[in-house]
Amino acid sequence: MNRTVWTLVRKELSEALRDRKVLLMSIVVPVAIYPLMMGVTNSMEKKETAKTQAEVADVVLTGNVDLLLPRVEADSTLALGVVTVPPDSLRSMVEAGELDAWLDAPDGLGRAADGEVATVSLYYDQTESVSRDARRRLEAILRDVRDEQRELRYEAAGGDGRLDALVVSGDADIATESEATGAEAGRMLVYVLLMMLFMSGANFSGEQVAGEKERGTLETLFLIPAPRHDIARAKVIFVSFGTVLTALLSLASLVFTYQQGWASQTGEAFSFDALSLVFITLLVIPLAVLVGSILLAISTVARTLKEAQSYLLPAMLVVFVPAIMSLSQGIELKGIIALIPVANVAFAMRDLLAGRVDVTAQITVVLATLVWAGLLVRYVGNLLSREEMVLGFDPEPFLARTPSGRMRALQVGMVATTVAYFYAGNLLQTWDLQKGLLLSLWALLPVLGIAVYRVAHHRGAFLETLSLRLPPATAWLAALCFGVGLLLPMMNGVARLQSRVLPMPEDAMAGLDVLQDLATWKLLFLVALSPAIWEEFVFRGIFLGMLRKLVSVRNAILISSAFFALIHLSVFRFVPTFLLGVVMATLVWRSRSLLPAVLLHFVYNGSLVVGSRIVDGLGVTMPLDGAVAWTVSVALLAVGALLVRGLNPMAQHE
Amino acid sequence: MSEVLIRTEGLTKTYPDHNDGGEIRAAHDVSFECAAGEVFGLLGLNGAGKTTTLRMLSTALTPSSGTAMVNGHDVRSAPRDVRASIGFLSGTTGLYHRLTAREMISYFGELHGMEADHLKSRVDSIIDLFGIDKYSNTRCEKLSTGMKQKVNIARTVVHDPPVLILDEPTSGLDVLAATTTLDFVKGYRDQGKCVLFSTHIMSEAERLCDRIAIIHEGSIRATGTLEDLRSSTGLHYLEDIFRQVVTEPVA
Repeated sequence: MNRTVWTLVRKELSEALRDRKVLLMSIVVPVAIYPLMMGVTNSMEKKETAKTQAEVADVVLTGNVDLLLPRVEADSTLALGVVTVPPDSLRSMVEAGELDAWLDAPDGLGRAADGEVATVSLYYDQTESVSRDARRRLEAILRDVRDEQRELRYEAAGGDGRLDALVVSGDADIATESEATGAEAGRMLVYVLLMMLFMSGANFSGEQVAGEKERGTLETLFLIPAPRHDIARAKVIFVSFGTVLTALLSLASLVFTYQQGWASQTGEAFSFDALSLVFITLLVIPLAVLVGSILLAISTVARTLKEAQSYLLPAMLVVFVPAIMSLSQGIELKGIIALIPVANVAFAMRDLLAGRVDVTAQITVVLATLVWAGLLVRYVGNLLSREEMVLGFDPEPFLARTPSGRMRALQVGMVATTVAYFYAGNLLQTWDLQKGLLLSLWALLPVLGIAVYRVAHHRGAFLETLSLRLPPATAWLAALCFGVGLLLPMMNGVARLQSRVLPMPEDAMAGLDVLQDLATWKLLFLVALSPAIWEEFVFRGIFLGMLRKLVSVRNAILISSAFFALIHLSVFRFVPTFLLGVVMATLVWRSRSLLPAVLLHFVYNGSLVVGSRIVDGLGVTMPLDGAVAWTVSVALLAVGALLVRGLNPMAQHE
Repeated sequence: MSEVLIRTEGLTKTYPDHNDGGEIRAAHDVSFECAAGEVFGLLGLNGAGKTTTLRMLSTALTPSSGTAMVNGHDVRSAPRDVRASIGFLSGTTGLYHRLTAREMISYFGELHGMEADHLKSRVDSIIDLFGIDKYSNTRCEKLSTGMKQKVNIARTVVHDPPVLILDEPTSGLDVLAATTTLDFVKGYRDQGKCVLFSTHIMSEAERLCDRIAIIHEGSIRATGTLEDLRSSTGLHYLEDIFRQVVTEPVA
């Protein structure tokens, strides 16, 4: 940390420590909330229990209940009912509250062989206290039976038998999953924590940028001889200090509350194991930094404190809603979920508390959280560097009709196109591969492309942007050379090279097999001609054309090709598609025409179709790896490159 | 002539106009020089481009075109050196509420990279100079407007900058607080510093400025000493001179 950053942080800390509101929200509340919350819940539950203990629960037993029956009958809080209805309807009776619990014991109960497990089903309603109580009583009886059986067997085996669980009780909670989960205070840890982080952090962050704008201290601060990113860094460090402090205090308070037994009705002390605690702390610290950065970003975007406060609730909602997903046990922490900011921590925490530790997933979550926080800090630094901060109005709104505004609009448009095309295309193709392909290429893709063209306020005629004009003859020839010449290197070279780094899963290509039954001309139309027309229209036409007005030719080619590669099926084909994109974009640039690229694309895809047909039809193996094939390919590429070199991108070919 | 510490040439700031896709000129082709030991006044109505010009000099805004040098540093290529050379104060500058007057002053000294020993003695002497020792340990939120202004000025010059830029520093102040400010400006000039001062108050400009530039609708319409302006317009009072200059059609 350099001296300026340290000076800034120190000053903010000493100001914050003089603020009673900050002390209350960041220190007192996090420390007091768990003992209070759990203490109150507990004392209320105790009262409730005392009340329900006087109530007798109606239970029924089915199956092999010989071992249990005497004990249940002996329990005065359980009234054993007689089963007069088919067992199927017992469940709905529990749901309807006509019955408090139903226990179904398997035949194997008490007779299970060594090492086997007999599973008992216990139906009850988590939301009803009488039902919960019945469950508790029945489980206690099951445990007693188990212990008794163990002892008996141990003796029978001459003190040498296995002591594995012979009888194990399982239960099925009838209340919906979220109701059941809601009852478990521990699982709510992350939500209570998030709430506190926002509350506490808002006190730290509000005074920062929005507050400084209001008080007129921001412009003065900008006049210190230090870069604005240093100011952003100092502010993030300060706000994160507050959120991390809050997080650690509330975590300590939680652990203490459990250890003191305040969290359980019976006053039973519960200790977290050290490893989980370490993991939870490792998760909580980056989360606190991320929340700090979110709050600072809000404070920077807002013009006044009031505006910042009005953004707080929506921001919390945006953060909470995905995090709530973690309440559903069915959704696992993997794939994209591990990357969703904040929500991923909720999932990781849920798994940790449930004793499921997937180290890779947990580390991914920590790293993703740090990356998000880092991006936000950069964003805040960039925002602070903008003139808007001093002027109080934005001289250049995000989608302004200026070159940089158009560039931003184009970037957003390209990202949106990629995401929309990828997901909507996948959806369409899952529904019906043929029609889906047709729809995505002939409708979805052009509509998206034209929408981007409209939104980005592009200057210049549409056809001019598309480079829709006749190219010189040599460009056609070059397209042919590349279309054929690229096949082998792509299929056997680049793709294979990449598969070492990132092997393609089998099912990524499986879908296309369905198309093998189509007539050759149909297949050519579907996977060669249609993509050649519409992908070129959007990527080499609209995107490349617009990019060329905004960035250098080289960057325009690279950016458009990167999006072209991203949109293609999966990351597994990124490198070959990207290279193909670069070749086609270069061809469009040099020939000043889109048409050769369409030809190249068609020849390339078409050769794949025809090639596979020949292999299938004749049962011959194409000599794709032979020295002759490689020589021909390299020669074709060389000729193509020379032809492209000969093209003059400035010349008028019409 | 003493050393020129501020020099602008063709300084221009435009914003895109979102209504018609054109441009709004906040400052246009502003050129002037300001030397050490001089108070140079930018006189103009609200919205004339004074603040924009000063903000370009303070590096808070980047010029759309033109150049500006402050203490030998280019605002575009060496903004940090420029910021190290200036003290900037405007009428809307605030203080940190929960810092004391002394903390406020030394905080900015520290941010300007002053060493601890030097800073301590400098803060002591500046507190003495502005007569704020009685309330130097009072939190800024509890100070009166006049006291706040003194702390603000002290904060502005704690690092002893060769150039002082003041953007309507007396706006919102009562007579006494305003007088304190103006007296300070004179004193600072007499120490051989360069002071650039913007105002829309004619009497302030008349009393304080060695040279005056009349700025209107983003561009400078006239520059010179009060005498120069009087002889070129044939008018005596600055108010009349101003009115004539801004209503003249632009050549």
